[in-house]
Amino acid sequence: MNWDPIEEQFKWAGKYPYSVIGKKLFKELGISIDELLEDKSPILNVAYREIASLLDDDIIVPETNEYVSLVKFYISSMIVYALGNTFLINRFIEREASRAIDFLKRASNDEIKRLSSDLGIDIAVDNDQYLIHFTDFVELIKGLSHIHWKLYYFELEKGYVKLTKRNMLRLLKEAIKEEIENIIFNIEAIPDAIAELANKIRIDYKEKLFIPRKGQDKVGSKNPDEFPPCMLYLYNNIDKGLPHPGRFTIVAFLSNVGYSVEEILDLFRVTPDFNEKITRYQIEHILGLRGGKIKYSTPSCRKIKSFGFCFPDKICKQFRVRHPFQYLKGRRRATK
Amino acid sequence: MLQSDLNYIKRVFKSYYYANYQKLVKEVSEYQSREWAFQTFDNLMVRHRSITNPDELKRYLEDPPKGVYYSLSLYEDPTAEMQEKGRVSTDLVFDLDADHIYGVMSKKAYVCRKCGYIGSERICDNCSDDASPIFIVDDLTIDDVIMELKRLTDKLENLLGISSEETKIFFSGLRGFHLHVESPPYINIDDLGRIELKDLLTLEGVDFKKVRSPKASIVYMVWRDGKKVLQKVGNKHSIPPLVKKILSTHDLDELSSLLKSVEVRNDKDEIKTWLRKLVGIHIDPAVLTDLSRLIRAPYSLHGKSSLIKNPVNMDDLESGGSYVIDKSMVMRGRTEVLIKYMPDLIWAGKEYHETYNERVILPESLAIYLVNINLAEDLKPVLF
Repeated sequence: MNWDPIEEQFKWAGKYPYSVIGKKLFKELGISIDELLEDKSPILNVAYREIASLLDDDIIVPETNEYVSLVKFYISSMIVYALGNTFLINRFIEREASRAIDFLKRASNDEIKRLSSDLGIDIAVDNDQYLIHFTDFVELIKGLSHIHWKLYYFELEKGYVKLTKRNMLRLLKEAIKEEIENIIFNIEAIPDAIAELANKIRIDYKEKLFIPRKGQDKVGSKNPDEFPPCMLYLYNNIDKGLPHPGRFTIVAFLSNVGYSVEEILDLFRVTPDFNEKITRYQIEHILGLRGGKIKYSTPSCRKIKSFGFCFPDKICKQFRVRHPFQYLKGRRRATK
Repeated sequence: MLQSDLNYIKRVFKSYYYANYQKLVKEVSEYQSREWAFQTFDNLMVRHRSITNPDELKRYLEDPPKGVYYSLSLYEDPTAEMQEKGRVSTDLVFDLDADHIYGVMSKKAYVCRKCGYIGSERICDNCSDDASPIFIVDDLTIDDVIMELKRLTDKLENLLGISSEETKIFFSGLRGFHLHVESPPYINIDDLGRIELKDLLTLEGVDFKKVRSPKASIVYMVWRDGKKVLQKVGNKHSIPPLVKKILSTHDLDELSSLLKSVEVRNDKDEIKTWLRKLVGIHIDPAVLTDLSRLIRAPYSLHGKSSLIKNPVNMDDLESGGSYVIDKSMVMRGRTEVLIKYMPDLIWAGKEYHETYNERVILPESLAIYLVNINLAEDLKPVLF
């Protein structure tokens, strides 16, 4: 347990909002997003500018205090997730990770070790050498395409890879990216207020957001042949009757890749004991058209795994897929 | 194979499993969470079975299988189809097999596929065609694999920090050894991570230009075993002079420069192939990297030799191949068999001389092995 004074904790969380302390403080703040919107909180404006600046280089995000930096990170994460644009998600993750590395370049070894530990990686520092266990090393280099990142090009002793500070920070950047990815793709529901903010960005930056540019993708294809293995399994087993988590997952996914309520309803007509009224209600509820008006997102791979529908194939492994949307992008890259 | 020989071998397996079935799960951690598989004597594979207690295993062994296997992975549901098993973790296993190790001492027999000639000549005596070699294991073969195993454990300890307390070593029952690591964090390394380990140990895909430090692990791999390996094979093979120079260089800076110089040569691929052959460790890459792999169960019998897949410790290995084979015999019994051809060989510490078309009395395991590789037939028990 860390007993730093609260201002120190906020300072840390502002720099590294995805750290253990960052997550804890955000949770303890108990911020109601709806209240923020009702109060026209400047944080929402900052979050809007943060995301807009990913699409427009002319927009400058104002300097903020630690509290705003922390809250802004989580609101921005929800906005990029609600937009469902992988290009934008990746840019957001890259920017946040690069921001952390800028701090870490000037940070003490204790600070580097502390953040590493938060990310589940124990490192040691011996003179100017940074030591990381080879099991963490081989996990982190998977995101790096450069051929230089092979275990045998590095000094290795008794299980530890010896790295320069520059190389250590490069690996930590991968760990930070993975942590942010996990936060984004484990968002369970998008509050109305955030969905509205995302819509505003969608309208204001319509051209930049949706004109395909190099590396940018639409969310996905309606063709089941291109679905990730988990979704294909659920899609192919609709007629046998899916358990609740399976129905929820496939409905959210089909909606995200462009199926209408009627199209989804038609797929469910073959289920045992089909009842149009109930099924329509359930689908519309998941799509945020009824009840709490919360549009549920496609669950992350971690969630799908816990439901028992995860059957990773080569693409899942090759592209380290954490969310079904990433699979669609990976598939297109693999078949290019 | 003669039906009478098949019946003989099945009887040996049946009586062994009747008395020893409980041992088969003894060395397998969390055996209830693993897939079990059984190879029949018709070479059919019965897969996706689970064992919850030794008595359940006993039922599978009543009609004795030729091979008993279990999965290196732990699963949520070991009986489900592959995609639906739910992998939890996978033991890290290094398989050293004499077939894959360069320069291993081995005896050979030759079989002519055309006329059935079996003997010591590469060219068939009868029809002058090329005869196919049959690789024959004996104590000296195992001695060579023990050397390779020591090179492996040295790298695991010094490079990867995997100590002998964290490993279990088994004689595989015929051609080599299995080294198992069953503890975290190693069991959580995924297939891409395992490929990195495989590349490190086998030196696969290396580009020496990218070596930035003389202390890089690839330089250590070459430096650590270079001289030892050169002493063993140096005079027997036409090794390129640069390879000999690399292997005999002791200074790490000089060695690093020499390795970098390889990349600008026209024969760089040949040089790198030699280095892989001589100082790479000849593990079976599929066993290390395939997360759905099955492996022979400890204390089960090898289908070809009837030798037991026994745990071995460093003292056993110091005692050499003779001791390892002797310790793995099911029974001390002897068997009369008709030898078609057997080269000079040493089996469990005893020498046997080249034999053609003769009935002889041999240790049961050797007789069964020769029958299985079609160099002998007509097994008869020797009662007195």
